[in-house]
Amino acid sequence: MKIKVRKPRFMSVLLVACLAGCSLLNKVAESVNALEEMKVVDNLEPSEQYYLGRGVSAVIVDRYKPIEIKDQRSERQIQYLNEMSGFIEIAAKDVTRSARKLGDYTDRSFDEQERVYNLALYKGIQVGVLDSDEVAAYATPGGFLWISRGLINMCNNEDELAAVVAHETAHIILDHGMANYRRAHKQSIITSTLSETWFSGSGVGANFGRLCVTLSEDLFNGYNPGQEFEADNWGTRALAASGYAPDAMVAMLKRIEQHEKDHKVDPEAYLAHHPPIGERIKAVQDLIKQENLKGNTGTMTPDAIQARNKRFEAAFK
Amino acid sequence: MVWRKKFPWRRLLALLLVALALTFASTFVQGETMYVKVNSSSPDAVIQSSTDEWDAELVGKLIQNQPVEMLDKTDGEYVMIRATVEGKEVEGWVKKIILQKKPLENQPRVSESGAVDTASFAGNGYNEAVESDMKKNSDEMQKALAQVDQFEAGRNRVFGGDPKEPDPAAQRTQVKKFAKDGKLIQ
Repeated sequence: MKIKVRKPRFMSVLLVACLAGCSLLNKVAESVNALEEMKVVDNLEPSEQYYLGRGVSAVIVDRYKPIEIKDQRSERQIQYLNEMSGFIEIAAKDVTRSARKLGDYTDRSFDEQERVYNLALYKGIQVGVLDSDEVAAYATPGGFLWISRGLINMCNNEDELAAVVAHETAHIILDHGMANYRRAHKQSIITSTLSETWFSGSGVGANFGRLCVTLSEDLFNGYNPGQEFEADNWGTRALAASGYAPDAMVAMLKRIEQHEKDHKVDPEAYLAHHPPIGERIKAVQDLIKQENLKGNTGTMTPDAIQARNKRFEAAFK
Repeated sequence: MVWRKKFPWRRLLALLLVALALTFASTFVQGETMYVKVNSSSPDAVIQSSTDEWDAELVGKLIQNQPVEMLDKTDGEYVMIRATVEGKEVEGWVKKIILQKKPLENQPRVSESGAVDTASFAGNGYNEAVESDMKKNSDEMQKALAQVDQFEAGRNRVFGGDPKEPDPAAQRTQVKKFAKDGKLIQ
């Protein structure tokens, strides 16, 4: 039997082709828009990161009041911490260059790695002290670094305080805050109860405010385990590169472990965001051993250690 | 071979040349103008005599959006540039990361729709104007940001010598002294 196949008319074919073409064009346009949007989110300028950091810092200082910089002692403490952070950042520049070798803690794409290499801070790192007995430290996008009085009091000497500063500086230098911002943006996790309490209006300012509040609440929960391990790794290498004792990182982590035991920190709540502290201690000990990290001979003499501890005690004890 | 004669070789060649020109235009070239993307109070907003952080002399300070001319020398994370500083032409080294090809746009980056959705954060620019608008929307945020202002002013006074415009050269000197006093550098 001969089957008769109708040939489609030319105009019908053209119509179908046009419709398919329009749909395809729309999809392409949507994709381009989405890509453009992501590009904007991925590439915030240093000044924008700074304003984001200010907004996040505002929520932090609303929760824990910062110390007022009004007398000689508080001035000395802020000066000390900012000079220390500035020094570690310069001395550890090669550590950042080797960020690919910081262990298998974060899964960075090529673009993300490039962002770490090219990170420029609008006004540098700004370190402040929170007037709280709680043991806490926060590093925001844009270079703000907040350390609580409780955490500083926990440090026994300058090298241990340097370990805290180096760990928090790592979160900034390794772009952890901005990485979380990008992730939150892409997953549309951009509101929280507090953000709705603070901002009921609409428009540009209210939206930006909601974003800052939500990001700060995310920060209160801590960075993710991979980021914490990576910050320990960078921080330990930075201590060695700066001439401080890398073992100071282990000492600080052990002190925090003891603090958690003493204060019965709820392990379930803590472990939801942080890796077990025992694992962090072991990872840092392994790193020091494998890489044979140590302070410079000149910086580890009794004379040098005494000089650092004397000024540390004068400022904080 | 008729098709060979009819094929638009000239057009193809022209297209190739344009593509090549665009490729080279997007890479770094000597004499190219670039712009400073950090604030004048950033410790990196300086021109150094060499690439050694501890021994280099600071030969000039840069300001945000300042155009600089690229010279044909790089050393690790530094590039050599020429810029006009206080009316004088200065050559020296700066960190590559503080430069970008276009001036800063600094336009609003948050939509005015009021809707809290992904798109609302994909407009243009977080800047002082957006922050002011944020403060108008929340008394809590206004008070909290006043504390951040107070902190920044205090911090800048003790680290850089000026509450509003801390001097990066002074900051560098302080950091160096801190390292020397702690016997962390010679």
